[in-house]
Amino acid sequence: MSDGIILAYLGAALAIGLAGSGSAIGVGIAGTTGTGLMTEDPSKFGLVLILQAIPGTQGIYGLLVGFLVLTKIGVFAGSPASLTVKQGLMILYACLPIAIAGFFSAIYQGKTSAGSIGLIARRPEEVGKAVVMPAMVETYAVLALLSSILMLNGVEV
Amino acid sequence: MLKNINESTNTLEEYGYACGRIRDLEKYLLNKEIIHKMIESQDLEKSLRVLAENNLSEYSFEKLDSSSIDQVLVNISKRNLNLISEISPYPYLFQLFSWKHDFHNIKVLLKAKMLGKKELFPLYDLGNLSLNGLHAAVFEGKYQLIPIKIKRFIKQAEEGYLKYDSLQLMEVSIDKGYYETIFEQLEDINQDFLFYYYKTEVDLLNLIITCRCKIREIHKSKLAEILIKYGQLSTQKLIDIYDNPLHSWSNNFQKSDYFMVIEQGIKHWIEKNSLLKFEQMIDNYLLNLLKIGKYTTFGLECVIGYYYAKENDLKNIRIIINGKKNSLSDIMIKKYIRDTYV
Repeated sequence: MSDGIILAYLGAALAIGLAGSGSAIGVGIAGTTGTGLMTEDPSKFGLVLILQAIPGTQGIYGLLVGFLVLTKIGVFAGSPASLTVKQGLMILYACLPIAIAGFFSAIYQGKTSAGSIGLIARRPEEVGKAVVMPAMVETYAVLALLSSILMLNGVEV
Repeated sequence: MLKNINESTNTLEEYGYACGRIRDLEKYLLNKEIIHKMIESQDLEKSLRVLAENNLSEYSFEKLDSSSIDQVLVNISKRNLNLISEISPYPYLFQLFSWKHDFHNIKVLLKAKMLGKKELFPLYDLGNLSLNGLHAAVFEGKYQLIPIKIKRFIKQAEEGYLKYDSLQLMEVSIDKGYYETIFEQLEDINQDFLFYYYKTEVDLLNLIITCRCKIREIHKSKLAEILIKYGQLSTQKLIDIYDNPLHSWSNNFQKSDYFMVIEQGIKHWIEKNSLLKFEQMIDNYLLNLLKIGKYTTFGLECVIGYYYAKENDLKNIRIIINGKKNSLSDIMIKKYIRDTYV
């Protein structure tokens, strides 16, 4: 196995692992607050679930980039390509935007979702606004995903 | 209130569950509209009915005699305290809030003893110490069931009464014990907001104590003994201004956050010969400080804010009930009413 492919694997692992961890933390934060609200008012389960799920998207983005990397290097085809160190590093760097931005944005999105859960506790009719606030944080995860995909497309294997 | 938001605000994620629950419970706090409707109701019964009409079923008064109403309010206070214990990730908030009831009970028992009565006001079984233990300590001198430091506070308060022959100064002595206990516990807890809140409470208490002493013409030399330490405001500053005329005191606090409280409080005393406004301004100042809890998603500010907001509601309900029972006018009752949290 070439050194390049090890770096490419590392990139895929970081994209999936870090973005996934961020999502787990974010969903956990929002879920804790949501549980508190549902203890008092179980009828808000539907609204709470939407807000709790929002920070989970970064994990999906990370997984998507990870799959793209693995497809690109031919893992799914059963014959991994032989990559140079330079190619491997390019793939690794391409994975970093979603790995880093995914990790942090998911945590902060979880916190914003928790704040929004507080909003729907008192004003359930404002659910639209409550969803928009954490969705703003999503913008940066989407930008990171786009960057990762574009960078990855630029790597010739 | 906003100046209390700093880098440590909103960082305690372990309070996420508590804040989620409280956000829902805040819907059942009294707002100004409900308070005004209650005051403007014709009689006590209609006034209490306003609570039921606004889905505040917690306040369910089946009988309208004093003891039944008081029992309902005490039960709500008990539930409020239990809620804090249930939702806080650490037990210290429950203990901290419970001390207030213990020291209230000590005050009631000591007052009763000094006046040669069996019991003056109802005791609240909401504290950290057993009522039997406190009763035995105060009336029989049996201190086995209470901590040594509480024994010391009781003895100090009794000595203070014998020395000054004043129930009010005896109460101040008990308050000193209360804050000593609180700040001792705060050292272990090490939470900035709690420190800030209790320090502000001590400052405001010292201000009104100084004012009361001035009105009663207590000699300046005794003031240093009476004032409570632990506040942010230097007790020496209060001693220094003590001999100045009361109306000029506020000039010394123009750059202080307490300026409005002092100015309005003293102005009202000079015009109406009553410290009612001063007490009301103090309560409102503290409540305003706690309103930070409404904007906190991860922090104990939310829990503290809700706890005191509920206690504030109970105080307002008591004021309205007493006002209605004594046939006070709406305007008069409004003068006594505190601000609301929501």
